[in-house]
Amino acid sequence: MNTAGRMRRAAPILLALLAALLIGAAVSRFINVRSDIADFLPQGRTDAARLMLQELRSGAGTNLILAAVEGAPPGELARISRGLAEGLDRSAQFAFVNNGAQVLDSADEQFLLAHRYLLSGVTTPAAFTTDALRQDLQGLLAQMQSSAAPLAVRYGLADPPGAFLDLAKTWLGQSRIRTVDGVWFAADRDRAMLLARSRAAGLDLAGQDAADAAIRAAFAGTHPGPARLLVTGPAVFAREAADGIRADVRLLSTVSAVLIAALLLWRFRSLWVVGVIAVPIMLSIAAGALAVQIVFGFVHGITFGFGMTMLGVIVDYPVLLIGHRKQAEAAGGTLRRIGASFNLAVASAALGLTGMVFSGFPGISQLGVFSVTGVLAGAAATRWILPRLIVAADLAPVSAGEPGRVLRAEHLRHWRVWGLVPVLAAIIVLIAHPPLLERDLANLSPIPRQARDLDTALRSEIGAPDVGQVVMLRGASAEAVLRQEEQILPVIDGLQKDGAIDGADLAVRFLPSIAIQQARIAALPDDATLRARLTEAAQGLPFRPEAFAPFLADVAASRAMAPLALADIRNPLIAARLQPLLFQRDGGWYGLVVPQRVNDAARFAAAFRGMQNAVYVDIRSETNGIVGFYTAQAWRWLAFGGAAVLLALAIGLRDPWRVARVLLALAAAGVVTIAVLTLAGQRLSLIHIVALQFAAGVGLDYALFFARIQLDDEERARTLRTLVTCNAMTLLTFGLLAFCHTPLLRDIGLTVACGAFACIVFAFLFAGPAPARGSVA
Amino acid sequence: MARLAAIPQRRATFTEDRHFAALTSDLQSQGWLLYQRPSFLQKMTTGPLPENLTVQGDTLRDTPANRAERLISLDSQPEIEALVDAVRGPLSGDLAMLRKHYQVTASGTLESWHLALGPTEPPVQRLLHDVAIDGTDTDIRTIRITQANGDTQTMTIAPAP
Repeated sequence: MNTAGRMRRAAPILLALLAALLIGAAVSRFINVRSDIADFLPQGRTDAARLMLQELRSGAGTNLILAAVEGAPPGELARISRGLAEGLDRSAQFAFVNNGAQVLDSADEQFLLAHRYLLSGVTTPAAFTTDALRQDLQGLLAQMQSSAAPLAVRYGLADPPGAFLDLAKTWLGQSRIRTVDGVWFAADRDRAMLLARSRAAGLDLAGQDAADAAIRAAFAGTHPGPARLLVTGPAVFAREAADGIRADVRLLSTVSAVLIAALLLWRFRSLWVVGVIAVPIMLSIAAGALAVQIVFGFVHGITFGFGMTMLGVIVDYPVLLIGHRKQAEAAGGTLRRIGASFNLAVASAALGLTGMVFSGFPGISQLGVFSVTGVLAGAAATRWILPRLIVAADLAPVSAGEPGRVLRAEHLRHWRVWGLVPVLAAIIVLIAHPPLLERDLANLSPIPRQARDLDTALRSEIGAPDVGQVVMLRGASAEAVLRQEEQILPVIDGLQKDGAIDGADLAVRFLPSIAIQQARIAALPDDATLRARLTEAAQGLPFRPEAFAPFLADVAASRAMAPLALADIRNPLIAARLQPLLFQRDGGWYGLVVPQRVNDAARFAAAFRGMQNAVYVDIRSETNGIVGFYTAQAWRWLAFGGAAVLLALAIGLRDPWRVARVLLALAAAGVVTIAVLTLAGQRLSLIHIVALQFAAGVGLDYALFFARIQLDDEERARTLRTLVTCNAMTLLTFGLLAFCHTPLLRDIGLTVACGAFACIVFAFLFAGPAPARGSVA
Repeated sequence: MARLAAIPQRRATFTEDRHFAALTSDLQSQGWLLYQRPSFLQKMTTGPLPENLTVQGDTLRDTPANRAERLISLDSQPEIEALVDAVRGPLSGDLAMLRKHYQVTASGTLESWHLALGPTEPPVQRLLHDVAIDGTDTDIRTIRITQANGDTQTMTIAPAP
């Protein structure tokens, strides 16, 4: 070919490529890619559940970090833990760090001490009568006789009614955690535990990167030797998942493109063909990303990565067109031959994605919208742009292949009854081991299972179990919520006494309402009265009058105080305790009642039924309910998709026998795939269901093309070679998903790769017509 | 120290005198002590207010009159551990135990010796000023604890027959 010819051939392709690139670049500037996981999982079905799930995924509790050190002798672990805590304190990245050495630091203690008569329920008018004071003083004297004397002197003289000790009891709680050299240890193994709260919010990925770097640096600074550091917590998950997603996107976007390009180059032996095929691909990716951006307002990193995998399917269309072109055929010629099957294939692939689009999982919906738009745009570009480019460049497969080989392959169909053997085997497998259904939302999240297991273990070891059941109170202000909590306190105390719960954390235990604090301030006697009562109470006891000067001064100071509001509490530890229990969201204030252990969930729930503004939320059953709901929905969409495909086939093929052959191929592939997944130990989740539907949509391609009323040996050879190429690309790209960090992508990859392979095998065996006897030598 | 360590079990009676800045008169109490190697110590106050305090290894069990029993892990409370070790250390002849929390200064003769313990850690220093122990031969005679605020507690010990 001369230079001018080459130029003539190249110009339209280069122009089209340039245009597609420009469109892609414009779209990439417009879309907003995010990698956090909070938006990926579904919302609850009730307002309270929605709010609670949102709170758990992105609320105040998400900056809590649990660290553990193991793999060295206990004394060494304690030393490392202390060094780690010091290092974290120094890094200034953490609002608080606690490894057991000190539950309340001196600033917190000072704060509680100063406000003890406002914060403690001990403050009542009765507590300050002469009689009550006399009893207090007698008790104090008895304590001074005992080994607790230093404690009595330190706290008792300034506080005979015992308001501070009452507060300390509330604050220290009942956590009974083992210590070694003053450092928290897991109860049944040598593992030092440390709790920290980052200053950065849990979803502030850059801030969490810095916090993580500070932890690693502090750990390295302790010269840990063989000891290992374990870190977990919602923020850690979010960061690791985001890192994993970013790595996945990098892997998929580069390796997918390279694999496909290499395969195409090998198959067609022409860079021009690869260039032409790139045009609809780029357009389809741009269209998919644009559609997701418009529908959802952002494009998730997982969607983007998956979109790259979709290349393996979308690339089928240009490949089908080019692969079926005969040498020097006119633009419309190829389309006329394969147009009907091509249209059906596109329609079935799009229908196969409806399950994803309508899954109700924001993340999976994104994948669906991206893929449907990409499939349609890719097909449209193939139909209307590609033929001109192909003809202009005169592209066709190097050869249709030697017809004899395809006929030998088709000869296998003589024994296609044997193809039913694996299907029967799969059915037997499924009867013997019915597939397990996934009911736990956690297992559908982008967080790897080992990370979640570690978190569960560390949480239970430090005595902070997962939030299971809570009661949520709503009010117009923090004060309104606190007043409601005061009203339900008797209910909670009753439940605790009955043993329905082991106790409960709620904000009002730490911060009473302003109304209550005012009542307490009013209950404090004035200085002269208190002095007189104290003198009378101390009659006959050996106390020096000046010993109570701090008590008198503190009561006088308390009388002059304004009640504490939430905003006045700035001590990190105290604020950290309140933050998850009392917070503002969407214009309202919410308070949580978090039971320590629920022994009788039904009684606990019943106690709050019918209460205005108080809602009982069972997070586990709520999230599992969500999974059940959406899984049921996924089955419905699978059924709908199946019916729609059946309709499309009936219209498109018009021959019941051919429809039956195509359906047999698909059903066989579906059964075998489910059996393989079950044998691989997978629990079937809605991710598998939507992926299966998608695989069926892709697999229908193959069946449709095999089931065409075939013209001649050469055309059949073209079809076989082209479909094998298409299938290889799908297997490569979806197989690649198996190397992803994100479980969701791995599940989809496994399902689609298995499904697509089963589809091409069964489509070849069952969908094509039986070869004429004796046609092969 | 080695000679103190040679005695596997001791029983003694004690009287205790507590002096407080807040009180016009000192508070007295009495009772008996039991020590068994290596780490068991019992201080039974018989009057005027009974209290049974035992230490076994790391666990302190305090049962005061008319009040709930307290269980304390000494490891998590260095201030209390320091006080317990000030008594347990000389009884067991364990100098290392004393040096965990104190700077130890010994003076006198074998017949009449004196140990001065100064706390080395800030959390302990905040509460405890010093501990002074006097003894004759293998017997401890007095243990005097001075709190950071100047209150003192003096235990006078007589070996039980």
